[in-house]
Amino acid sequence: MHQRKPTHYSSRFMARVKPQCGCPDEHTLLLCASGSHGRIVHNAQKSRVATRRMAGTMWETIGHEWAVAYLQKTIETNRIAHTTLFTGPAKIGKTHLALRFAAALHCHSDGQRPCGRCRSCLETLAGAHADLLMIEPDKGRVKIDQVRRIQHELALRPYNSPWRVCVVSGFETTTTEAANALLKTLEEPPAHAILLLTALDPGLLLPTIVSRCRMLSMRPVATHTIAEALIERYQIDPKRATEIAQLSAGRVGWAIRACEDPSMLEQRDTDVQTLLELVDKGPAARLRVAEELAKRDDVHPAVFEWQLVWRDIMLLAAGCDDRLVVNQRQLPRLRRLAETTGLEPARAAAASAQDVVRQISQNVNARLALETMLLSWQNR
Amino acid sequence: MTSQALYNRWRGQTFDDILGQEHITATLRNQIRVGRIGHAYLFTGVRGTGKTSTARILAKAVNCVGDTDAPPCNECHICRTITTGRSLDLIEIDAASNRGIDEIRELRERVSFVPQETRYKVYVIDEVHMLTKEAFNALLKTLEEPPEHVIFVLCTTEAYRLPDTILSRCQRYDFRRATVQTVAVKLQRICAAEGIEITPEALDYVARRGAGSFRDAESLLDQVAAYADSVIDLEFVQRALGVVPAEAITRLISTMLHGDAAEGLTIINSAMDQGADPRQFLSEILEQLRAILLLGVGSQEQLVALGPETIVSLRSLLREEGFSGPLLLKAIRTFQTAGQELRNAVHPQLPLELALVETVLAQSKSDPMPMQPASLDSGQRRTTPGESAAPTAGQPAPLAKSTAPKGRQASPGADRADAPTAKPSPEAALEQPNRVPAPVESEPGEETADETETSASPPMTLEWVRAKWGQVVNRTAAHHPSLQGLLTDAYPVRVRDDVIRVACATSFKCDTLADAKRSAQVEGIMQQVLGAPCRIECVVGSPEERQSATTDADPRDEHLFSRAERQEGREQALRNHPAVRALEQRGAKVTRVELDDSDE
Repeated sequence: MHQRKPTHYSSRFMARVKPQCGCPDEHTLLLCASGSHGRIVHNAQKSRVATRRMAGTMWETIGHEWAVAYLQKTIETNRIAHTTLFTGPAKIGKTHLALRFAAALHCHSDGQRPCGRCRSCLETLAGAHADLLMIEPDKGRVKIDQVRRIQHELALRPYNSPWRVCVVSGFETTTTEAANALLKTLEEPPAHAILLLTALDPGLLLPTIVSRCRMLSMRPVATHTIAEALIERYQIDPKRATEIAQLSAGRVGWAIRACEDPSMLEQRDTDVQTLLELVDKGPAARLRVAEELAKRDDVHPAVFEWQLVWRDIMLLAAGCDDRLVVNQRQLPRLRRLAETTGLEPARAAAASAQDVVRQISQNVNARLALETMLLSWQNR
Repeated sequence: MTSQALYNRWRGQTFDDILGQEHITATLRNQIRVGRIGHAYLFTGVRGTGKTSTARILAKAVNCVGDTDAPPCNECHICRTITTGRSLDLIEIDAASNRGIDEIRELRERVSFVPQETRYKVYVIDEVHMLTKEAFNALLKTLEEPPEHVIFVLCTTEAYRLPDTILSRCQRYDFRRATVQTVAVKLQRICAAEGIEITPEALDYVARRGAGSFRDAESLLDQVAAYADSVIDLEFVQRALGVVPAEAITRLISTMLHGDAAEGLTIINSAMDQGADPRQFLSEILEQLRAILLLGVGSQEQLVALGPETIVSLRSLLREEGFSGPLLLKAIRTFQTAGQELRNAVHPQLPLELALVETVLAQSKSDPMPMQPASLDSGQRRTTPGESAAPTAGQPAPLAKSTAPKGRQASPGADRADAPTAKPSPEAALEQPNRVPAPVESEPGEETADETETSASPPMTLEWVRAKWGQVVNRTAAHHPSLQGLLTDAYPVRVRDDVIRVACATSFKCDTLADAKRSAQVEGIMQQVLGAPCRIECVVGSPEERQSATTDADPRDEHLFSRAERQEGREQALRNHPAVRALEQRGAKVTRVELDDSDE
């Protein structure tokens, strides 16, 4: 269960975030107001940094215009759904959009909502509004106690808004019991209740849940849209913006983080380099890399990047246009690899990365899974 | 300020509103008319088919005091209080949130109180599958003999999770998936009443996307209506839902057939760039592949829920060269798997791309083989007389054709080739080429034919018995389950005339199997499988030998090793035997190893 304002976390967090970006004051402020704890603050806080910089635009989204238009319209025409399910890959902006929508619902402005200036908007975006409940997975899962809390809070009358809004992120992690417990609430919520759920994919949820929600499936944003937005908002070099946009594969959140935190990109480059070197090396070197990698907190980013590299090789081996390739910088190298590797091995390698992600999610030992993957890659 | 969802606003209020479930509503109506109301009902069926609504209507109907022959009247004060959810005598319990034994105990205590103002107190227990085991058991007695004034209605989507003891105490009603037409009728009503302007094609599309669930379709309509400015047409719906045009998908499928991976990948990427929903994209691809399958086996076009132009272009794909049944099945399976991978994918188009490349590769692999044109269509022709050897092979034959050439090589006599080509199984590809009786795979329909064939070939060889051993074990397991454990790690080591020596893993198993009754049972099975009478002889064998027995079954490999090498290997195996090792650890020494030559 989340406790409100566990201030003892904040100092720890400031320390961790400080070296990465240059505006510690703003961070501290946002952090205290957010009222969650642990990792949750970490994530939410980063997106909120982005928010601050972009203040001025209403919804502060990049791409997803149709989704914004749709949500705006439901407010204008008073056809707001009690439950909306935001789906889409990680870092695409689901919670971001859900939170903006919550702000729009709470906003006191007569004009466009959310105005981003009134007290309600500010409080909502900071996660501190009295009629907003933010639920995030507790130790990786949303549990039945959290669902009971949702039921309890939604049953209360709103305090300072026509709605009581509950944003549940990572709903795909919900336990079966918890998901079932929410069914009746989803079906017939109190008149003033709004539930905004976010999940990676509707296929991960109970069909009975999905059928009770209005779906908002967020799709990857086109590369040029992201690039333009990055240039405009961060004043970075157009070439670099295009590169970041391409690497993000449509994930807006990722692109923003990459702009704010250059170390992320560096890490990424190192990972790609490791892979490209590894292709020529024997089992011993591969096992060493697996060991190194398994020590990281989260092996997913590296595996995803590798998967993208193999995808590029696969596309090149199939004879696709160069523009589809994500890792433009390594293009010549990739092309050589594509020639020597061939289509089927490249496909198998990309698929093996997919398997690793699944295996790790099923609690397979990370190092073992990585070793299997690396050894399965064809030696050329 | 109301924003009640369409499916709530248009929840059925009379039995007539429950569409597509006439078998249930008619029964309930009759029960109410003659006054034979059950005390416990179980409503089950997929989501959004009207379970909860029917439960509420039933509660109204049994209690209705209005002046009507067909309750509920929806006008009397009781009907109205129930509709607005204010009635004290309709108790709706969310079993998923209140799933413990304590909640059920509380319910039991209250059941005995008479209803406030109605005839019956109706307990609707929704999502009942989530009750705990203890809670279910605590409910049993109450459910069996509730007080006269109580009716239980249990609703669930997953009836298989209920204990049998619950099921047997209820009248069970299975709600069917609604047809597209029925859903469309309901949507039509809603649109007319809500003033939503929608074209018939768009309505039909929404109904179809609902997949037999009213609520899914209504949620979708709700979403589209909230987004629309003017008349909703098909194009608008497809854009709002991120659907890829059917024509692009047909092109994608044709690239698979032509083995053009580059073009296919480009189509996927451009579709994604235009904002396609990957999951939707995938399901449309599968829909078209399925359509090709159905058209290929000559089904009626009504089964295919696609536009006429699409069907025409799919038909022309069917006639194209390079098209084959196995490829189609492979494509369907591959894309089906991609759907599961889509769940965890960070790059949503990647599972699609991988599936495409896999299919294309499968296509290019099967290319060098002689491809009979339109093999799916030829399915009917193959069953004509003339080819008497394939009486049961009518359906599977054409789809399995690409593996046929392999089977042809495998069988020694080219004149017999026609029969085995009809039934190539995965194992067939793994078999050794020059084993004695070639066409001996486990196809039940063909077994009798095999038996006569095999009994004609007189000498039984060890390889052959080993190849058949899996079948022996499986059959024994089916007929004499108690022998299964004995046979799973036993294996044949020697065949001499009709005596088959079987090595068991432990001496206990060996003794048990050697028992006259048991060995007679096994011999009976072996006679059926091998087609000749035989006897078994039990010995104790080591695990290493077993491994060599299963892996080195290829007779050609046998000749690769000289006799001396083999002996050395066996000696090594004996020295490494765990029992020997254990003795060595206690100080014993192996001085001499004697090998029984007759085992060769």
